[in-house]
Amino acid sequence: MKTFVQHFVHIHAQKVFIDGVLRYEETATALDFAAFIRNVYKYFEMQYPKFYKMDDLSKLAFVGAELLNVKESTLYKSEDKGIVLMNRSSSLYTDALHQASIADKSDYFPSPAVFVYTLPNIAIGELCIRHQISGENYFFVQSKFNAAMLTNYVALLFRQRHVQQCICGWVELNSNNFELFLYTVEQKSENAVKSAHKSPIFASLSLEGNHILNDTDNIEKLYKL
Amino acid sequence: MEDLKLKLKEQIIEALNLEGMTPAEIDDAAPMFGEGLGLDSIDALELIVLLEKKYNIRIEDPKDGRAIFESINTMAAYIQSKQIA
Repeated sequence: MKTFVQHFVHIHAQKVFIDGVLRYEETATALDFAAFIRNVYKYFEMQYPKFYKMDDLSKLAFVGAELLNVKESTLYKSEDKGIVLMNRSSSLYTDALHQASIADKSDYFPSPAVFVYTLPNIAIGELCIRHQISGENYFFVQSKFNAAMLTNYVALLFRQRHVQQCICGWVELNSNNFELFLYTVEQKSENAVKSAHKSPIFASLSLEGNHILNDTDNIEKLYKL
Repeated sequence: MEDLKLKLKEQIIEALNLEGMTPAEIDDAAPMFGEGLGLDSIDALELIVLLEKKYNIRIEDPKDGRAIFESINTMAAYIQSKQIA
């Protein structure tokens, strides 16, 4: 079964790329993650008050998913939409914040709002709420971005008809070190990003018509953009 | 009492990450949950922690929180009553 990359978003090195095009670049130097992601949120005029209550991993995932333009996902029923993410550090950064709040018995004030984010799949939950996704969801923890694992797992979901659209990708954050690479996959090619792009990278992709096939080589190349 | 309410609002804004909100925008009598500040159940737990951390007031039964956290007015009155006691 062929599936196609619909849109893809890359956030790293203080830059935001959407479908391979640079859409935002932080001008301030040495900005920490909290300030950077808040600037991105405001620049793209996002409106979701709960954003400010999320932990940093969820904020990164949230902003990335907003930029995927998943408005098109209204084409699918909630139960036909899935999400599969991967990272290296799991929820370690938030885990450490929680640990710090309980380390001193004389100053023992764990924050419920921090504690609820001490699992990486809570970030998935935030996206499921936002985008009405109730199909398959999974969060892999791997030492590095594993395009083959992600692609094969998502292909299986499509083959077994568990999903008709899936948000996939890498959402890594550990303190101020972060990287996001998210993309949407679906079986239909009508909505898929057209490869007739100015970026030379598109010349090296496997295509069907003008659309990017969701396969390991393509995902590796898009990730390295 | 007015000083306490102002301080409380500042502490709530910080503890609950109410980004962009100022104390002046929080109505003393408005409900904090539901249509007012739109707080949720996790926020309620944070308010319980705030009371203990900042005012050394422990709410033994979380069910009591419903009345205590109804508004800034009720919360300030509760703190004041505990401090006097």
